[in-house]
Amino acid sequence: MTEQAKEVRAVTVSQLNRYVAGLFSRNQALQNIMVRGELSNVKRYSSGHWYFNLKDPYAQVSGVMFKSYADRLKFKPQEGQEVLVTAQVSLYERNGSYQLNVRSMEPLGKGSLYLAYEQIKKALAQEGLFDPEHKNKLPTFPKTIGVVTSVSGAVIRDIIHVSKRRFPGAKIILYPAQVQGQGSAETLIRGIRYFNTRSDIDVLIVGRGGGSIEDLWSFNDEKLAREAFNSRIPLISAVGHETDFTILDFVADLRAPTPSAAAELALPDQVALRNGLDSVQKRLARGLENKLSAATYRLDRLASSPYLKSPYVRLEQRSQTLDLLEERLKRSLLTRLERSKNRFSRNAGLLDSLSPLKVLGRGYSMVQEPDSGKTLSKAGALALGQEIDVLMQDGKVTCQVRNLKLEDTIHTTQD
Amino acid sequence: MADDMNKTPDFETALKRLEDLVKELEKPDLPLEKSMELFQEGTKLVALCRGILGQAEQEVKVLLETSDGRMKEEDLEQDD
Repeated sequence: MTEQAKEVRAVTVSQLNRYVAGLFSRNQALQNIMVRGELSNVKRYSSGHWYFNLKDPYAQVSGVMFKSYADRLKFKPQEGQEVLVTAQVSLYERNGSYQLNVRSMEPLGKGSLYLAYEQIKKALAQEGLFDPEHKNKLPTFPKTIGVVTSVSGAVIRDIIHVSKRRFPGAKIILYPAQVQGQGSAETLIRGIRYFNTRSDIDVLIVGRGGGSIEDLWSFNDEKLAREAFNSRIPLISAVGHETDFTILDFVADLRAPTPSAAAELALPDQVALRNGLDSVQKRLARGLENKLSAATYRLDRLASSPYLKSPYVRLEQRSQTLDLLEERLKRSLLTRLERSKNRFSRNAGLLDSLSPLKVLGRGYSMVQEPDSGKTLSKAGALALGQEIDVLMQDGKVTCQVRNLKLEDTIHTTQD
Repeated sequence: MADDMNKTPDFETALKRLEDLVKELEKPDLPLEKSMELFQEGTKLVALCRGILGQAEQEVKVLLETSDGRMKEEDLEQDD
């Protein structure tokens, strides 16, 4: 074969790749194949397309998921995740490598919705949207309740039913919303937003009846969660049954296990309130009765007073008082007289015992100067030959000093 | 306070006022005349609260969007 002949039989790279691509596209098995593997090198481009490799321990293949398909993903593909993809196998002619054009992707193990739920929940929890300090307190006596749910569902019926029993005085306003399917999250969001534009709504209930995770899916919507978080009005979530948890439940100010329970949480119990009113009424009556009986008692006491019985009583009383005073005056004078008498005789007795005459009676004598009557008590004051009077119990003796003798040293004066 | 009495208080306000009234009325040194006033006011409030609780017909409205995009409240048909 000549060189030229060889050149004629050769194909270009493009021709080769197109040929192989044709082989791929004519093979039925490669048009719709399910492949399982681990995701690696996951990248999302701004175009909205996802690029990744799918691998097992021994081999790998590259894959792409174009925006139109990727938009339907319920979860965010992550590095290392085990997935099951449905794809068409094709050749990328530009670089001669083949790839998987992925149409759908499911996480293996947990369902994709569950995974998505977990991912949104984790992200919002990290942002702090579920933190207790953001929870609004429910009003004790709501006058108006805004309900965002389906107009035909069981939720609004349950709420009306419970409200009638518990607190019929509250007004209920329903914002009819779609609670499942395409666009349902948006109507729920609009409902919450609408009620927040009104100033007369005291509490919100957002909910729907039970269903599969797909049915409840709009209540896991991230935008709905944010709208509920931003709600100025306290919000109760009432989604599905007791065991169903949605993202809205975590972000709500209160999660009610069922729609009926939501109404019970939102409204006070009129039976308890009636009992409370009964007791208040009793206390009011008892309070007034006590006041009245106290007043009656005081009135009786005043009325029974003799002053009020007859106008003369007062005069009689006065004269009686006068008599009494007179009596007391007399008595006090007598007492005083008596007291003076007693004091006099006591003092007289004292005086008597102190009298020098009494002393003389006991054998003592008193010496006096004859003329002046001055009492002489010292021998040293006397002179020999001096005349002195000596007073005795019954008389007076005039004597002349003949001898002077002082105590200790006895001075004798010579005649 | 007399001015407030002209406006019908809501349930919560009435209940709060009632609590205060009873406490005041139970004070031993409150004059009789004042007690009578409080009792009368209290009795009115109890009646008011009972009235609110006794409302047989609950108001249930459904919102409808009008052609100009505004929301309108209408009575909700109840089928029970």
